[in-house]
Amino acid sequence: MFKQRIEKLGLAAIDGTRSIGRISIFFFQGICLNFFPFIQIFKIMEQVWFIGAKSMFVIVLTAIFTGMVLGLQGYYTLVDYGSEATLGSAVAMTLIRELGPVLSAIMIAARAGSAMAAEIGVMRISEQIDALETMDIHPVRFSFSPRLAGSIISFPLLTALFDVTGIFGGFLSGVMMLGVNRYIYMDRVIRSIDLADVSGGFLKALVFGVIVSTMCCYKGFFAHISGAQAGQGAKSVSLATTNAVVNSCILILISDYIITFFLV
Amino acid sequence: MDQPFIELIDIHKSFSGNNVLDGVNLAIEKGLVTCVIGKSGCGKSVLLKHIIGLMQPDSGQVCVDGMPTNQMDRTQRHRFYRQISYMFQDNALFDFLTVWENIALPLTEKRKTPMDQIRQRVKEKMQVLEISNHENKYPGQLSGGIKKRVALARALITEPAAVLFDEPTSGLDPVRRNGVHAMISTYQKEFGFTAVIVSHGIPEIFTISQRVAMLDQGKIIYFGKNDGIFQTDNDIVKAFISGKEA
Repeated sequence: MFKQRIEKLGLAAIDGTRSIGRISIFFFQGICLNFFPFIQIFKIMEQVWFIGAKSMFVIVLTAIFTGMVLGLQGYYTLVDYGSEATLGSAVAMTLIRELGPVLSAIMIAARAGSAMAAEIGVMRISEQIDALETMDIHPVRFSFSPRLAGSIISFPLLTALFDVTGIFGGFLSGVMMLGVNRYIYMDRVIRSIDLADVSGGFLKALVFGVIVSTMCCYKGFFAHISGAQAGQGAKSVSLATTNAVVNSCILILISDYIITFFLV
Repeated sequence: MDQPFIELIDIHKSFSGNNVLDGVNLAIEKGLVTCVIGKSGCGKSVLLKHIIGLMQPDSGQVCVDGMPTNQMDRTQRHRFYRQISYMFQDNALFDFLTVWENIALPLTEKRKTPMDQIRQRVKEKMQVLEISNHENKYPGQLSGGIKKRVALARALITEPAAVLFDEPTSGLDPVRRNGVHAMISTYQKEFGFTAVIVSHGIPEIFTISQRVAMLDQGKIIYFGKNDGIFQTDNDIVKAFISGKEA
């Protein structure tokens, strides 16, 4: 019994190490193959359109309500201390440093990340990835590299959109509904934010973009292995998609803490 | 006999202790159509995937034009993939690409062939295979027979020396099955490629092939001319081609 448990533990460790190795190779291949033998500019633009432009509605909707909630909660907390004039700072700092990058990444993981995992997973189980190999086309370059580049471009832009829309949401609830002076709100927003906050937020967005695209494409690409118990059918694709989104969200939160630890 | 174009030497492959290929030896001659028959699940597709390199043998060697595939360097491997095409059982067409884009894919992804030449070659293949009017359609909008033709056009676009067909007629009715066999035969004669066909279409597959190999329990139990299979003494082969249990 004890020996079996040790064996299981050993197998799990080997499996884990193998997965880390596989995802690292996958990531580095994805980066390098973006440039060799040539940059796939049109495919990258397609991905910027899919990941970036098509996520704008979701981002704007999430950001405006997040900003409005921050405005409401912030106002009723600050008014107790007679500091409601600092509402603009509270909303802007919270959004630009933390909520903007994290919430946009989670929303994009849910919308575009799940689609990446499912699309590549279907390609895997319908032998399209094998077909690429037989045509001497590198499947990582074909399926992952443009998505990685598209994410690196789109995530910071969508985060910027989230920040601006969120600040406007805070303006709607704080100024339009609760009567905070509009000039003071905007003045506080402008004064409280410096370049380090903005660049820190963008750095986070960049890292989250790499995490989401790598995790989602990796899970789809290896859907036939990760869903081994489920066979190589629809079930393995659904399992890969679920795992991709859940793992992406967990990694976003962990890496957010690590980046913030080094930034503050 | 000349050196075979594709040669499998003592190939062994097992999955979770189950021996699927158990010492397979097979020599495929250049310019001929060789069909591989056998019961479902006996390892015919696995054999084909070993030739194209999608699977690696546990032991044994696959040689193409005398060169062992596992000893090829990068340049030789690129040349090897240019020489051999593979037509998948379910076609493996990219559903987000149009028919034209699917056929042109092996060339557009490489950027070695000028665009006007690619257009010309795709146009020619589409005309020969009579799919020109489906150029802008997506695979989801096509019938099974047309999808097969698109897959064949894609397999032929690089003008390969050999094409491997994995059950090209599976899921088709007898009329379409004959149509696909006729299509393979016609274009094999026209383009002169070596063909390896895994098929259950007995006896009609014998009419388009010059060599037949039968796989049973991981071994090639018959290999020879197509008409010779009817004179064999092997009871398993006789039972199989007459549709009976051995």
